[in-house]
Amino acid sequence: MRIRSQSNFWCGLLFAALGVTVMILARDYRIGSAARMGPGYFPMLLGALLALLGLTLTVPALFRDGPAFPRLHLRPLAFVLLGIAAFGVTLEYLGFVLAVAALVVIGGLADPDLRPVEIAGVALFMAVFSVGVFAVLLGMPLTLWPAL
Amino acid sequence: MEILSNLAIGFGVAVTLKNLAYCFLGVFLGTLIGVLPGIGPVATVAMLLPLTFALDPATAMIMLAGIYYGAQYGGSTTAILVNIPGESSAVVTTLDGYQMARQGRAGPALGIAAIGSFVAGTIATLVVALFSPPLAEIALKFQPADYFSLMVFGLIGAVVLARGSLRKAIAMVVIGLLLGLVGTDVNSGVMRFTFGIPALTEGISFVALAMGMFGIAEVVYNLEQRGASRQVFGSRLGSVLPSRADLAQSAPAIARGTLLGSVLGILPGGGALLSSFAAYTIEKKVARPPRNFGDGDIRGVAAPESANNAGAQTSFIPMLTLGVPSNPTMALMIGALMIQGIQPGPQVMSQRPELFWGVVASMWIGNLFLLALNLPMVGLWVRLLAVPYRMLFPAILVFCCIGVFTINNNVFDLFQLVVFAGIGYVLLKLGCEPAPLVLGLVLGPMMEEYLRRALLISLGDPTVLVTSPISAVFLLAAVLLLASIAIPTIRAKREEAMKE
Repeated sequence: MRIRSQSNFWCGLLFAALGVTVMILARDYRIGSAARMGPGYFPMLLGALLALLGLTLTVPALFRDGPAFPRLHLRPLAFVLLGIAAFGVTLEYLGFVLAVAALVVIGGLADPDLRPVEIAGVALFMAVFSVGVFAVLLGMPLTLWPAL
Repeated sequence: MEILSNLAIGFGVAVTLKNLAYCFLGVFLGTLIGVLPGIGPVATVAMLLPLTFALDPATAMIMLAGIYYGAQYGGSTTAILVNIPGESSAVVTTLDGYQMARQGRAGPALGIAAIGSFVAGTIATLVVALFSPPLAEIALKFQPADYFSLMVFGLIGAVVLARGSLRKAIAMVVIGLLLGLVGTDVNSGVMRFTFGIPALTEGISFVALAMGMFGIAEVVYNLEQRGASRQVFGSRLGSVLPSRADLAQSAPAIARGTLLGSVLGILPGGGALLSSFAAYTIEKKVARPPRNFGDGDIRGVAAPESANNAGAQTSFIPMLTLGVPSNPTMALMIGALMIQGIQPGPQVMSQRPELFWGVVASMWIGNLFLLALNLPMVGLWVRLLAVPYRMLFPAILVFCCIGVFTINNNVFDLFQLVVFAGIGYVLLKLGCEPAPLVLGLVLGPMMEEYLRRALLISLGDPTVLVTSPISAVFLLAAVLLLASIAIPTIRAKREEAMKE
């Protein structure tokens, strides 16, 4: 059978899977009764609703034309997310200044037109600027440098 | 005249040196961040939220409201000068605004946007002051079942008025509600969906989610659109003051935009986005003579800009009186109130009149600052926008990360940001709008609690939702809204209105 709308088909399947997963997880919590709702009652209800909604997307996608599967561009996404994660890790161990630099440099790679001199300039500017604004002006308790 | 004494209380709170200063600071920072391409009010408010933590509740709300208007106007500036709407409500402004800029009339376009926004803001402030007290009065009588149904109505309204597929939007709401349940259940103390991660016991970081889906996902999306022509038309800015003829032509457009925005802003899912789209569509139909739209007609800027500001303002009504957010920005405001230890709802007006009326009064003051700030400072925004995006976006990322981190001073929130940015990007690609999800996230725990109480009172009988008259009306309205979409002509209209 041909899938007429790839996007809706997989989107619906994703929702349905999510709904079923929620229902399975919610079995660990007490369901209770309507008059005495347990912690599992509402999630179970929502999980079922989500699974049904998923099916209303997936099933018609087999018969009716709709949007095709979108093109994903992985480079910008990967570097931006990596940059944020690097900011988090660096901030924890090496302090705020290096974290800002790491974010700008790694995140900057998301744009293929990257020019090293510009990115270095932005990194320096942002480090000085954010320390000035957030640490000095606003007095936020940030660890600026790695503890030696 | 009770409203006068109320407004007097409000101005008494708002016109103190401290609150004026924070209002001004909010408007300024909001505009500054909002001008950055691809950063809309939600991301701006989320980013600047930590700045308000140390303030008392009234001052914090005043500053946040200022940030909101500032971001809104900043988005319009970007729309006019570089054809990139900072957020969806500025999309229609790009149509005529950017054309005006290309014709060397960026100045009058920015000027009329500021003037229209100010007029709309002034009138919408009065609407808020007039309509909130009676609404809060009614809301005080609501039972749990009524609240539950009100939220159902609000969410359905948000979905119906949103863009794109209805089924996907409803699914987004449900996922949002589920995400809202992550953390410790208040009634049983059971940890739900925390997967043994201690940091999740307090629930999902609202700011990380909003920032990931509205800020970071948007940055990634913009990076993909590279190569699209992006040229700043600011070198020939000209005078920002519109000519007499411009003003005469725009006045009726501003009036219509204001009226429409004030009404639509109150609706769930309304606010700035719907208002600006509707205002542009209507303006195109009724404006006489009807030439030039899409080709640099000043009315095509005046009407949606007035409408989105009026809508932004009146969307505070359901938030302040019912505690129900009508758009993601209001959801953030509710989050901010809760951080301040205030449970939003109809009792806020009676218990904290100084907070309520102070915010209302500062709305008008904020609009005044907006006008005073933007007409002289347009040159600065133009220079900021001349910086190439490849150098701007790393700076945007830094601001987003600092904003998220400083909410709790917790690195774990940054990893949540990574996760939600990734999810937000995929959802965007699949044609799922993030706004309904964010509303669901805020309303999730509240809806569960009201449903629990409603069913507890009725001894488990679910018909309580339709036997209580108020609740029945809300549910009926929700059903009618859903049904209306199924009618082909209305469906076609909805798609047409959202397409522009």
